[in-house]
Amino acid sequence: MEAMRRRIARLTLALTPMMAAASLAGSSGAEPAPRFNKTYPVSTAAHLAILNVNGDVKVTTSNKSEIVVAVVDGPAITVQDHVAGNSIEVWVKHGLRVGRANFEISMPADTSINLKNIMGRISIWGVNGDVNVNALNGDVRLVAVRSPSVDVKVISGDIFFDGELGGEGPFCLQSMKGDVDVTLPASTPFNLNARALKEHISLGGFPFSFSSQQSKAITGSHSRGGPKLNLTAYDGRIILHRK
Amino acid sequence: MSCVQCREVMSEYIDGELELGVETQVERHLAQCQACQAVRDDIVQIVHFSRNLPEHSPGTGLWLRIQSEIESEHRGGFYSKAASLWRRLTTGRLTLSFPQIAVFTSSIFLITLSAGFFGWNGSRQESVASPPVEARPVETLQAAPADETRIEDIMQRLGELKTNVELRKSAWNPEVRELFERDVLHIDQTLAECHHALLDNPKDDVCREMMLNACREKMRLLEGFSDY
Repeated sequence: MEAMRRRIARLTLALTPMMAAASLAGSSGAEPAPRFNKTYPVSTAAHLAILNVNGDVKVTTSNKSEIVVAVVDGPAITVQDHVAGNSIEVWVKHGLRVGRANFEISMPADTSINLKNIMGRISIWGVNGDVNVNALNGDVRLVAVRSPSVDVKVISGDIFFDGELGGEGPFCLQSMKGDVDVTLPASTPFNLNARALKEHISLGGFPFSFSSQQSKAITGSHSRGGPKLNLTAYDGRIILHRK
Repeated sequence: MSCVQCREVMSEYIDGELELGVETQVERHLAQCQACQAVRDDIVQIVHFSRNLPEHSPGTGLWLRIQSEIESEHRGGFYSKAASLWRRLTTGRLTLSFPQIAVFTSSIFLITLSAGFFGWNGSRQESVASPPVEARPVETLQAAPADETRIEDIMQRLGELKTNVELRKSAWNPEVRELFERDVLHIDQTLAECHHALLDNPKDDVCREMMLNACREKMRLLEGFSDY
């Protein structure tokens, strides 16, 4: 009996450090360290290209003269980058054989961004530079955007735009399977070219001067016209909102 | 039988013109080669598409222009052949086999589509300004230039990409494969719907424009997946 008690005591002593280590590891696991985290100092009007494969991409803006790219929550993926002056490119290798890699990006508002992604949601907030999104699956959200031009193409996913037309355009939003939802200030002048193959087009009360109006195609100008706003939805609605 | 040999006789195989022994070899090869199956499916789709095209009789003006082109480009020895061909055409003594008629009809259709597309693309180019040089990605994300977007080029490129993707698909995880198949199916259904709508109303320019754009989207989808 005494031998048994000593054996238990020894076992407890041996296990205590291991349990403590496991406990510490567990607490640090709640906030995983980014798999890739780099800061790139930039001057005005930089350009950023992100080529992700499977995962979300979240872009926000800051007042700092730097671009921060962090890949979080991902498995052991390979991320590479290339810097040429004010132009930065970051991409994921071997993406479809591994799990998701979520990008979190902070950059100056005037940075132009080029995003390519196969699967995953994309959100872009507060950008004033050109925006180009080439996505296959996943919703795309552009909020508080004042870009001089926007080009978003998605095969399967909704596109949500809430911002201003900050330049001569064009502003092209296209989804093969999903809604295209656009919110603009009521006074925005623009030329609309909307194509919805299966669903309807809702003009949200914008008073248009139509040059052509069919069930699936509408062309017209608002406030005497302005930058071109091309909206295309193959299997989804086109919805305009005034604010 | 190798892939090269199989593809050399693919058209004859689809037309049922192969000898029984060769046909059996092709079928054996197809049973175990996904890439060649993809090529076969594409050709069958194109043949089916071509056979369902409405027949349009070219006007006299077109024939006159063809004759004029032939005369201006190939004077001399070739001229007499062209003149002979023209005489046979105008006198109705020219007989064409089914494949020749099919090729001719397809060509007319493709020319019409290309012309319509270039017209649309021209107006689109006017509206789509190129991004600044520094804004261009390493890969070209913008639409292909007009001279690369002829429908036959698109179909050929689609076939190549599909073959490439079929070879790589087995390495993907099942979730990705399912997603890819779903997207391809969706675009193909959209293309089929546009095609039917165009058959009902060949003057539906919006539908034609959207169909060609859907072809580009399929190309973008296949390109997106073919890198991995």
